[in-house]
Amino acid sequence: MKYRRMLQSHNYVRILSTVAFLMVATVISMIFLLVFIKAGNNLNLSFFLEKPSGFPIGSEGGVFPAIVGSLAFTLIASVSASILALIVALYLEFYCSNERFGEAIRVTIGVIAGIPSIILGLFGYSFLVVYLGFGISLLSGGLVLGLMIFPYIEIKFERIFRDVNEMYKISTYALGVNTGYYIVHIILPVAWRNMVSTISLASSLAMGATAPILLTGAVFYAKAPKSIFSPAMALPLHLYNLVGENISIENAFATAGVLLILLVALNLITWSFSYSGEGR
Amino acid sequence: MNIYDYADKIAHRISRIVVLTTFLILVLIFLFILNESLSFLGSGFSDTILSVSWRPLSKNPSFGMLPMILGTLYIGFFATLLALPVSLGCASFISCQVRGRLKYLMLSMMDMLAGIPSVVYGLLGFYTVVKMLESTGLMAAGESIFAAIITLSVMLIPYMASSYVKAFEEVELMYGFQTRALGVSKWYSMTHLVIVHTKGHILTGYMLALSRALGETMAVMMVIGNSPILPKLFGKGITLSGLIALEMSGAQLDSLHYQSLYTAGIILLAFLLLINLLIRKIESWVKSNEI
Amino acid sequence: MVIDIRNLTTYYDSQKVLDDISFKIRKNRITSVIGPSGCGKTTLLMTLSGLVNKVPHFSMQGEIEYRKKTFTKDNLGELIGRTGFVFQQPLAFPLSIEKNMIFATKYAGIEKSERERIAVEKLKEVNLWEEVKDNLKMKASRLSGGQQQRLCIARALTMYPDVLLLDEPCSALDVKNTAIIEKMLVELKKDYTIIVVTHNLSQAKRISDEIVFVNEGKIVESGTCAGIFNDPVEQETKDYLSGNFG
Repeated sequence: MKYRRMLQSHNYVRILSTVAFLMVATVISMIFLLVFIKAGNNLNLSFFLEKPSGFPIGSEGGVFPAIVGSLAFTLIASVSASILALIVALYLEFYCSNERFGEAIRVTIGVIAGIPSIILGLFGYSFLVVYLGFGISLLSGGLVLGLMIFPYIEIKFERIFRDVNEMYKISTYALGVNTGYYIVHIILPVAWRNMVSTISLASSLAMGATAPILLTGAVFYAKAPKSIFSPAMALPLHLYNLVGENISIENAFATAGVLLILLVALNLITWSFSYSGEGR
Repeated sequence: MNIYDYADKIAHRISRIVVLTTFLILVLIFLFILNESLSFLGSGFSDTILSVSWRPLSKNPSFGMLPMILGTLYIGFFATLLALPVSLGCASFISCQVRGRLKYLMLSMMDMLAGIPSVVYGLLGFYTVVKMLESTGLMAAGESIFAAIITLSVMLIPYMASSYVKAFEEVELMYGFQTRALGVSKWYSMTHLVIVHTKGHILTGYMLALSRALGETMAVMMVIGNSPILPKLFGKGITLSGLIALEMSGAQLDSLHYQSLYTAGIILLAFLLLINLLIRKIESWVKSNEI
Repeated sequence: MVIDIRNLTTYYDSQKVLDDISFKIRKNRITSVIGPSGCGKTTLLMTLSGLVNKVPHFSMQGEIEYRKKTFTKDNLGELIGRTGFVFQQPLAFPLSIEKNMIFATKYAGIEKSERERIAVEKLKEVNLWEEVKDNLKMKASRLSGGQQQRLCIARALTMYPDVLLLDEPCSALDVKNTAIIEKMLVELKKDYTIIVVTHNLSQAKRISDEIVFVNEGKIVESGTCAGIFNDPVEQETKDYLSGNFG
């Protein structure tokens, strides 16, 4: 009797799942150990603050211009994407009275979300760089990155707004108050924490993306950018170049370390905003 | 009429116009990419797409994209097929065996892993899988389709697993008490209720991962070797997105080479739209069958 | 009398919810609308408040006369804000107590000092002032259910409505808080006309002056509290009051 119970299918599932989990856990912890051990040797303050140097360039020195460039790209991307996403999400959730129009917008956003980043890069190149004449620049790259994270932010914003108690809406209307007042005084105060955390999560996506800026804004070597029309370096592309051109695997790991530190910082912001406040 | 009413009216009008720009963006994307590729398709070299020889710059150019198309599909399918069982197992383990704070911690770890940039995965794939393949001496250069599949599936596992955990938790929340009341174990209800009930979600999660895999550029590009030859497990290969990323900077504006890269983009986009359509079909099918 | 309802019919999509209702509501009285679940009581209240237009799928016919002005489906929205509405579930806005109380008056463009005066006055009217006067900056969601419900009533009163509409105001509360609110409603009726929807018959008996009995979208019987409870005319009313259905 006992043995028959042991041989039931769910126990096989249990064993196999445990094996899968242990496998993944091992691989993941090894990945982290590897990055930090390899990066640790080269990761010091001067790596953050110096320009890349040596021959071929990048084999010595630091990544300062790439840090500045990455931050600038990310800032442009998250500002442009958040503004657009906020307006679209507010409209769809509170103003749109035509259900089919709303559905059409949602499908559109879904399709944009499904376009791979390299294709957005292609579009950015022919539209922003060539057609509008922005050139290979921070602005072009930032806008393409913004386009990449826009659907993500919009969909999350809409969900955040929908999660605010539906009864507030009818209760505020009962007081004779209109939609705009309701949004400003109830929705935004309730939802802003989650909105900030969404934006910072999306920024971390933008900061790590390479393919869109490869064609539109990032270059192999540049000084720290002066205006939004100048091209810039970016950490992920710098990392790719160090590996792809076989320049310095040690510096590649150190660059990866810098990138991960920045991402962890963004994740901490996300975390502190979404969980430090009162639960809804 | 007070000031708030004016503000509301203006906000309403402006937001409607802004919302229309999302349509405009999508139209522009398709217009610009189609525009470039249509001039390629009309150039007389379009029939060379289905050959295996990629010589865009020679006197007698040929734009064979079969290696890239097959390479993209080969890597996408095998990487997702490898990642599927592992992430299912991982997700079941987390939702059955792990509780409270630890579960929360693991889920945040999963989300964080899914957010690690693909170049970092590429670097790790290069440093581990590729170097390992080289050290076994089987191949002169370790960059291969095999390395790409391993790297890509490691990238996809956290993404798939975290979406599966969320689906499992939902079912658990709905039926958990009732199954516990019947005296069966968590694993029993996982095997016989939860996985069966969420099979639609598992399928859409798989398809989403597939579309990510097909579009993935950097990580794959760093470990695959990038030679335009037909895919073999332990040979070099190339993907559509890798081709675009590698050659765009060298392609002259408005040349056939340049336009052919946009055509590669359209082919990739066509695959992804097909998958997107399938996902919608599956979702509506699941909805109509669940109730 | 303040409100005169004539031939009111409301639909949810194409389904009739209220069917050709006509009755009058008298000033400074508590009128209780009673009836089994799903009979259309809440819809009646929503229509009187003007909110029915804000809810998808609803439409109405007929007219409501209120202070010598006639409202039909086209201008029903103007009623919003003239009537105070209190919902079944106590739901303070996720703001401080103070901000909850000035929420609507700020919108209406009333001056700051005046807003604050109204807030204090209304909190006193619902007997909440003594309990909260020391921590007005506290999040209102930390108040207990009963306090939140009184806050909701006070909040509705800040707009100086003549009519106060309450939809099952005590069904989510315990006995003690119910008693507090019932006592307060009786005190409030000297200033306001109060309409309460309830399916708690003993509560209706305790507080109301007038009773309207609604069933399946129609008014079966209406009259004074004592009249309905002691001497109902219709057989249907007798059956409902004696617990044979509902």
